[in-house]
Amino acid sequence: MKREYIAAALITAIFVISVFNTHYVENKTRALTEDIESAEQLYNSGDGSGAASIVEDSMQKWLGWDSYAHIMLRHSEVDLVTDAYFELLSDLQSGETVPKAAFGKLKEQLHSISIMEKITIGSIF
Amino acid sequence: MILGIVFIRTMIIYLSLLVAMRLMGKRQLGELELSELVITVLISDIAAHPLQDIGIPLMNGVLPIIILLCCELIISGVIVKSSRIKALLCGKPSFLIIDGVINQKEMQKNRFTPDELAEELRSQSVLDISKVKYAILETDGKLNVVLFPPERPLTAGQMQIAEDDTGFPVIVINNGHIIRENLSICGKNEEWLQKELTARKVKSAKDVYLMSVNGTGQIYFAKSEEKNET
Repeated sequence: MKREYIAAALITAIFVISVFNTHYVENKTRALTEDIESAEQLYNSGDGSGAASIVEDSMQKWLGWDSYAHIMLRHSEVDLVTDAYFELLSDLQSGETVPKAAFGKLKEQLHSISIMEKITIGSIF
Repeated sequence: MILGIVFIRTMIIYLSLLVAMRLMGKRQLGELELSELVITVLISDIAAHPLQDIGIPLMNGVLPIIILLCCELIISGVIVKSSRIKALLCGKPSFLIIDGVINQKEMQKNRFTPDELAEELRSQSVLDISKVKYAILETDGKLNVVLFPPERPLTAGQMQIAEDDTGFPVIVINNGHIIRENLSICGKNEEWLQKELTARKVKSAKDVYLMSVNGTGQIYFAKSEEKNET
């Protein structure tokens, strides 16, 4: 019966880790989205370099999370977020007008990762 | 770089599968119960996806294997403890033939056609259904056939012939390698082995393909052809 208890413990641990992972990804993407939102507010108030600095910091946070993200999330989704970060940062640093859609795209990609990990009836079926 | 990733991922999945199948036990390699078949089919399919697409996290392959392995271990443990749950998950053996008469209701229930039954019986050298006392379809899908007593093969016991019990043959040299554990099991030592090899004009165990000893001390000996040719 020892084997069965170990299996039951392992399956419970995997479930707990899965729930933890869902919350962790949600919190992480929420924090990153908040960064982008504050960068957008700064940009709209005319502080382009301040916005670029926030996006750069946020991107560093994202890249620091890269290994975890690649292990736990679909690689194509992770790459889309990374690309959106680089695109937005490059637009901000170029000094040209940054379209609202550039901020929206990054926020959408982060939201998509968070949604993907959420346990809902829809995601299960 | 991609080739390296594919290599490492394949190795990880292969080893995970190997460990999973090993932990599931030898039954998985032979006749499968329903739950075991489901898990075997699922595992092989799940394992293939992260191997084909390196964009899928390896976790998506490894985690389901671990979860299925745990489910299988729990279910097989519960089945051993409870015959009710075993009947629920694996079903019950079905008697397809009783006293030489086909049980058509059971045949229909098990989606077994008369020609399939005849084929199964033929594979067991049974050509006449009326000679079958019982034909039992086991839960692993195997058909066991019990003949009427007059049709059963005669045994030495029935003939009252005294047959010597030669015991189980133990392999002591396997392809040139001495199996010391087996030598001690049959109560022999290397000194005895060397003496037997010398008696067969063989210098060392390396020149022997197979040597076994049974309970009565009878030896089966096969010289290595490879060594003889060179």
